[in-house]
This record gives sequence, structure tokens and C-alpha cells, in this order.
Amino acid sequence: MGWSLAVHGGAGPSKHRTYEAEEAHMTALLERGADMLDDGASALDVVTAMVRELEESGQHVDGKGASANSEGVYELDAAVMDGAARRAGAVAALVGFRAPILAARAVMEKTPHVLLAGQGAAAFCGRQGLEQVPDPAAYYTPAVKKALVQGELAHGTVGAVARDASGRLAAATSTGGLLNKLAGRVGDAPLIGSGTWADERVAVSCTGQGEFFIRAAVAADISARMRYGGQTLHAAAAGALADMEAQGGDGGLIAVDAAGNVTAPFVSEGMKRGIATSAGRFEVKTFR
Amino acid sequence: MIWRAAVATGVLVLACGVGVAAAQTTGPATAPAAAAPVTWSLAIHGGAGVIERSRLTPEQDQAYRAALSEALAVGAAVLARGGSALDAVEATARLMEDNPLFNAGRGAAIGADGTVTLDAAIMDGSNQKAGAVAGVMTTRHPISLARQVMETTRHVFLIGAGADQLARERGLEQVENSWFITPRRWRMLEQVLTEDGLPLPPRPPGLDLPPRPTSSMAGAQLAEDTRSVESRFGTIGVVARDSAGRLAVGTTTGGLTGKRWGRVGDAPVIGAGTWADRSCAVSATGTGEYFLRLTVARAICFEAERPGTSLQQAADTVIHRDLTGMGGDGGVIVMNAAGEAVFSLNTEGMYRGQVSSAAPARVMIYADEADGLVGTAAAARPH
Repeated sequence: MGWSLAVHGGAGPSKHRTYEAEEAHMTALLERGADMLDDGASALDVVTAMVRELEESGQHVDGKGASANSEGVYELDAAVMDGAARRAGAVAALVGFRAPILAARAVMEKTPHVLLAGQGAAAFCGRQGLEQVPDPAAYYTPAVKKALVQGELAHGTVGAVARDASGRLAAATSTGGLLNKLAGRVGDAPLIGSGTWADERVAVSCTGQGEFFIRAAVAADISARMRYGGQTLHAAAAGALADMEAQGGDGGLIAVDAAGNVTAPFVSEGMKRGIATSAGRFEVKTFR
Repeated sequence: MIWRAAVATGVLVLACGVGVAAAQTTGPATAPAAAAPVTWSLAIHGGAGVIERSRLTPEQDQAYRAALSEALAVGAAVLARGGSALDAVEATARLMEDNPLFNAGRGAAIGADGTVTLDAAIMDGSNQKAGAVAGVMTTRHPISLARQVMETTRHVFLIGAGADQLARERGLEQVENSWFITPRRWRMLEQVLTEDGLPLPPRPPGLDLPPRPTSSMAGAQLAEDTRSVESRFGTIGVVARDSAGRLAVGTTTGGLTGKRWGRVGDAPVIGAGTWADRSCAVSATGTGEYFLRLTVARAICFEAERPGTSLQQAADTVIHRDLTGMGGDGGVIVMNAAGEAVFSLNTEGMYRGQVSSAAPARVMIYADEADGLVGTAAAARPH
């Protein structure tokens, strides 16, 4: 059986600039992910590794590229879901740790819980021995310098979805937040069924104005359209996104289904994205 | 909402199904329910779990029924005078948050560090707007804070100190965290932490505990209490349909006794423990992690859109097939646009009640209390 992989670096890009560095990094990343899948790695391990690299790159609004919130604190969210076992782990408003996606994975694998938030989540990560950020001001290099104006919705997330050679699906999402984000604000990324989802038929990672993705439960909606409506992956993803847009939001998503189909629709100006499959498809793009 | 043709068919089927279900479940005494159209409707839950007749004394049984009846009366009064579903949900939830019998607000489960942290969500089905909070420590009514998030910010979900900060800015009543703590819950915390081999946190000053059980039998009873689902994962929830046909839902919880690490369950997560759209509203209670992994509330509303599926079948399919299949425990209250309310649970009991413009209030505790409310053949539906 073949494999499929997709990654995204957020739906925030503006046509006022180019994204050559990001695209070059994403190309190298996809090649690494393709190698892993060729070697028989699990979808779960591959999406975790992809998101970990995106966090570390500092090129996107997550991980190293995150900005401080209105209190001057770097709060990060992440989630991972293993479709084969329908297991999930997530962290919200996590402060002080370098790899939110590894924190989410630890929640999934080391606790009976799904979502840990705030100081409690940080205490858990400390106990797990996850790598800390001793000096936030020195570590973080915000990918977007612009501050949010009061009430503006944050925008910027990374994610990965994969179907491995054994047919298992997984999704992972991680997000930082923009300068001046309201303290304690949580978007869709760590919410299972909103920004992140994987089951036996589809894996989804979303990016965009998270509030609208929560209200429409976009990721769960895609699975339901396929399950109950018999829709194809492309129709389901486009339809769920259109419903979200109809409420006034913007953004995009990547999704892969059990047959290995991949889709990456967006209703924003652009979305940093890459797709690779064992059938030879390989593309990295930011705009249409 | 999504497959519009399918929804239209479903509504017709459901409309026909209401009378049939009513006749089956309530018998001849309330048969006129089918004739009187529902203008407003309200259903509530106060947690699901190991609630057996042998566990509750007659006094406890009566206290819970009285609390449920009182909550129904408050919400019904709002709806009967033409108030919105959202107002009814908030008013009902506030009362239940204040009642120490339920795991929400005062009398909520206490975390391993000796503090109460509350989660809540509210959703307006008419426009799919939502607000949610987690880790609230000083705001007396988390449901009202969730509503403030929905109505006065552009956000949906606020966590921790930022959430309480918003409450202060909006003038919501603030209390000391110890105000939420009751002696009964403290005893449960001690029991759970002892069982888990964790240290006991300092007791809040002024909290007088009832004497420790002296007889081994009473001790065993307390142990049973703490293992009961009611103490481990109670919740309160409300669904309502107003006379303008709008649906709304609200859910509040203190989460798990002895919880650690900032654990957040399904209650504040839109789609998992709380969901409302134009045709369906759900509030859930139970082992939250399983409800998150199944997005239970959203899944029930998807099931209900399938042509030929009754509301009861939709709820039972997700609870008795999917939730039970995964190993989760709990229950839900579900309401459709016609104001039909159903319950589904795979536990021994769920504190619950319902009332509508067409039917008097009913309150129930044990799973087998009303024939046909749980375990219909829907669980056997093909996947």
C-alpha cells in the first residue's frame, strides 16, 4: 500500500511578499517525511516529526516563531490524534516548553487525559522532562512582527496529516499566537474535532481564524460529511470550509483520507502547504 | 444544516415520530402530548454515573429530585414568559451551579492541589455562536462567563487567569476559591488522593469537616461514594428550545475529583460535551476523554440528520454503540428543533429532568426509571 502526506504552515500569507525560504524548508521537510513513510514509519510518528520541525523552524506562527500575548507571555497550543486507535492528546496555553507537539503526544501516551491546559499542563511537561525554554525573550523569534489590534483574530498555525503504508491515519497541529493575543485565548488547534481530527476515514489539520473553526467544528464536520453524506474527501473538505466561511471566518486545512487522497483547500489569500504521495505527487505552494 | 435535503426529510420523520415515542414512553395518561404542539421545551442533567437505588438514602433521593424540579421551574418560567432559550439555559445553569449537590460551581469536585477549577460552555444554536471557559477559579457563575466570552469578545474559548480577568472586567461576581469547596467534596478528595498515593493539600481555613467515618461499613460507603461516577465526573447541563424555535445549550463542571495537570474534559469543548445548531442541541456528562475522542455531542446531531433516524436512536447509537464500544461511561440530554427531548445513558443513573409547554415536569435518577428512554434497538443499527 502507498502513503500520503501533507503539511501546512498557516493560512496567513499575504501577496505583499514571497515565501521562498519557507517553501524551501517545507520541500526539505516533505522529502524527509517521504523517506520516513517509505521506510514504514507510522503516520503518527511522521506527523509528529513534521510538526516538530515546523515548530523549530521559526518560519511560522508556532514554536520558535510564536509571539508573546498581551501579558508578554508566550502561550502555545498543540494537538495530535491517532486515527487508528482514536487516541488524542492536546495542550492549551502551555508556557515555557520548546515543543508543544511533543507535550500533546505525551498527554496522549502518558496520561488517561486528552487535554491539559495552563499551569497544570506546564507542571506535567516538567515532570515528563520535556525541554524547557529558560529565556523566552532570547529563544522566540516571532515569524510575524505585526501586533494584533484589539479584538482582531489570531491567524497562524502549522500542521501535518498522513496516511502510512499500513493505512493508518494521523493528524497534528501546533500554534503560537500573534503579538497582543488575549491571555488565555485558545483557538481551534488543540480542540479535537475543531482544528485537529483523525479517525479511520480521514485526518484533518486546520488553520485560520480559530473561533470560526470551533463554532463550525470543521474537522469533525469533514469526517461526518464523508461518513453520513457519502461525500468524497474533496467535497467534504470544501463544503465544511465553505460553511465556516459563510459564518464570516477565513483559513484553510489539509486532509487525507483512508484511500490516500489528499486535499488542501483554503479560503484565505494563501496557505503555505506541501503534499507528497508514494504515487509520485510532490508539490509545495503558498498561493493558488 | 449540512445535507439540506436530508434534514428536511428528517424533520418530517421526526415530527411523525414524536407522537409515537410519547405514546410508547408515557402511556395513556399523557397521550394528549401528541396533540398539543410544543412551543417551548427544557431538559437538564446533573451528572451521570454509578447511581443505584441502594446507594442513595430516601433523603438524598428526595434532595436530588427537589433540586432538579427547582431548576426546571426556573428555566420553565423564563421560557413560559417568552424568554430566549439562551436566557433559560443560563438561568437554569446558574441555579444548578450554586447547588452543592452537583459537580459545578459551589460543591464542585476539588483538584489534587486543593483548589476548584471550573469549566463551562454555552452555545446559541440559532447562529452557532459559542463561548467557553476552562480553569476558572474565582468566578461564581462560569456559565455566565462563557456567555460573556460569546457575546462580548470575538473569541470562543478562554482559559485560566485570562478567563477570570475577563469576568472581573465585565463585573461578574467574584468569590474566593474556597467558597466553592464543601466538606463532602473535601472528604471525597481525601479519599481519592489517599487511594492514588498522593499528598493531601492544606485544607482551606474555616472548612469544618464532618467526623471521619468510624465504622468500617461507613468507611466502605465513603469509598464507594468516591469511586462513584457522580463524584469522579459529575456535570450539569441544560438544553432549551424557546417559543421562537431557537435552541441553546449550556454545560458546567468541576471536572474530576483529584484532577491534576490542568486537565480539561469535554464540557467546555464545543462539539464534544456541548453543541447546538438550528436543529439539534446536546449536553453531555461522563468520562470526558472518551466524549472528546468521539466528539459525542456533534456526532449525535449528525446521526439525527440521517433520514429515518429518531432523536432517541441518534442518541442511543452514539452512547450505546460508540461510547460503550470505546469503553466510556456517561449520558446526554438531546433536544431537536421541535422541542422533543431525549436522554441516553449507559450508566446506572443520571440526574435528569424535562418540562415543556405541552407536558408537566418529570425528574428521574435511575436508568430504568422511564421505559424506553434508554437502550432502544437503535444500538444495533448498521454502521
